[in-house]
Amino acid sequence: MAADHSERTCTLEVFRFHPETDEHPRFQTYQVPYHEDWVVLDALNHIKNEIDGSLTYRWSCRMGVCGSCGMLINGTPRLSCAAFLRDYYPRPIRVEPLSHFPVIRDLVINFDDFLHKLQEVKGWLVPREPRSLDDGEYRQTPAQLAQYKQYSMCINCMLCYAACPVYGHNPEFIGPAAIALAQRYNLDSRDGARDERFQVIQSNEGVWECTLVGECSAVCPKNVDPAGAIQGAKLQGAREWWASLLLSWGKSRT
Amino acid sequence: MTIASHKTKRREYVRAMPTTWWLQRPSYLRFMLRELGSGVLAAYALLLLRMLQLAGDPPAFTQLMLALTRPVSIVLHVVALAFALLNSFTTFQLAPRALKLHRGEEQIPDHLVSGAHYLAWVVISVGLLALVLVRR
Amino acid sequence: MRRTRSSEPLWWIPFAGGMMLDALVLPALILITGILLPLGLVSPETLHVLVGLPVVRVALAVLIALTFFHAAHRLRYALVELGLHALKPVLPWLCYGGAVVGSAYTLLVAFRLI
Repeated sequence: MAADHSERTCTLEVFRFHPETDEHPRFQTYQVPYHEDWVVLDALNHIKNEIDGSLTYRWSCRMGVCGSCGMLINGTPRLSCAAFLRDYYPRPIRVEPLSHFPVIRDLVINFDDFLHKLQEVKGWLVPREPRSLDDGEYRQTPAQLAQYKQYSMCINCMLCYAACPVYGHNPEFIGPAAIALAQRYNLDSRDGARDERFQVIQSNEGVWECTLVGECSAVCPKNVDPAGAIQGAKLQGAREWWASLLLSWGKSRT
Repeated sequence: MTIASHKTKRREYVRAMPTTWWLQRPSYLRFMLRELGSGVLAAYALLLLRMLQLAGDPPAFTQLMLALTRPVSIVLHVVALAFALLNSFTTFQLAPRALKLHRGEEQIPDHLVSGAHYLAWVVISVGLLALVLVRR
Repeated sequence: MRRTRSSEPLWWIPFAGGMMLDALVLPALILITGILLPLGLVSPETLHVLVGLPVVRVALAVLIALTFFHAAHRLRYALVELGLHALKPVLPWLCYGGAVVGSAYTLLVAFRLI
């Protein structure tokens, strides 16, 4: 690729908060070199390496698979490694920590709540019945895989939580990614813990708190479609609720 | 020897959600209009209820039909129509989210699911209009 | 854990039915009563005859009732999101209660019992 010899600069307005010295957060403006192929993460790394080493943020793979670098970029939850400067230049780029989470320092958020929820929905395979190594590997058809594959793509980046106004108002809400993960296992032919997970996601703080704003699926960088997972769970839950009601009426009359 | 007590400097900052949160993004505004629109549709349902009620009272029914020709009624209907169309379009766009149908390992594409709903809407609407339009 | 059992599944089916039915038929109905009737393209007599037919009365009653549940479910959440957080515990009672009462009344009207 031809080298970009321009000396153009791009402006970043970055959220800063150092609790040991700052009463309130503030924004700090930086000028970074503009490159056609740079993403916001490149700009942040440049700031930290060349301008201001005190800037604190999370990142890792820089290629959209680890889920570490989620931030608000001009108000939209995005992976900073996927947001190209050229999509915003020449206008300034505002970088803030993901919304709806407490801020620890600069762009670093506390997401313990999300981790608790991943555990609560039992985000792992619970075998339908005990198996030994002698039983060999699980067998699954492509059609069975297709039932849950989309929901298995989640990289736990939490952009969906930052986009969800319901979670913003009510941190008790289990939230898009955790429910999508629950459905990933519920729909997996190998799994047997659907009833336990339904205890959690069919509660008032689970799928029924969702009002289908749809922003979660709009911001998801991996097309997991958590809104779809939630809608599917609502449909399942409502059908079963009515079925068990009608069944118990039927039983009580025989 | 005493162990120095260590007071952490950690102090998390919590950002509150503004009451005008739904005005800050176009998608949030569309969402709120969709939600509040359901109230407008319920208000229109009250008109349908009134028609049911007055069916057995021809003079009163005629009065109601006359009232529907007044400008204020037309304006209210236009508003109601806007919200009804918003409900229709958002419902048909969201239908694939709830209706994930697989044929083997292929999922029926979103646009086909939405398209089927739009088609049903057109067919039903044409049917209703054909039922009531004056024939010359 | 500390998760509360939800009664929302009860209301969700009539809500979803109402949302879909409204999406399919309301635009045409609003066009009829609001635009085509004043324009003279629909005659009041036709409408009068139609709302007298039992099958039409039942169909309209179902539409009206489900529309009430559609609005109840949406408003029950939207009003909280608009800032009325203090109302959160009573809104389900107000909204779904209103829909139930409204639907019962509608059925009575449709069957000419009121």
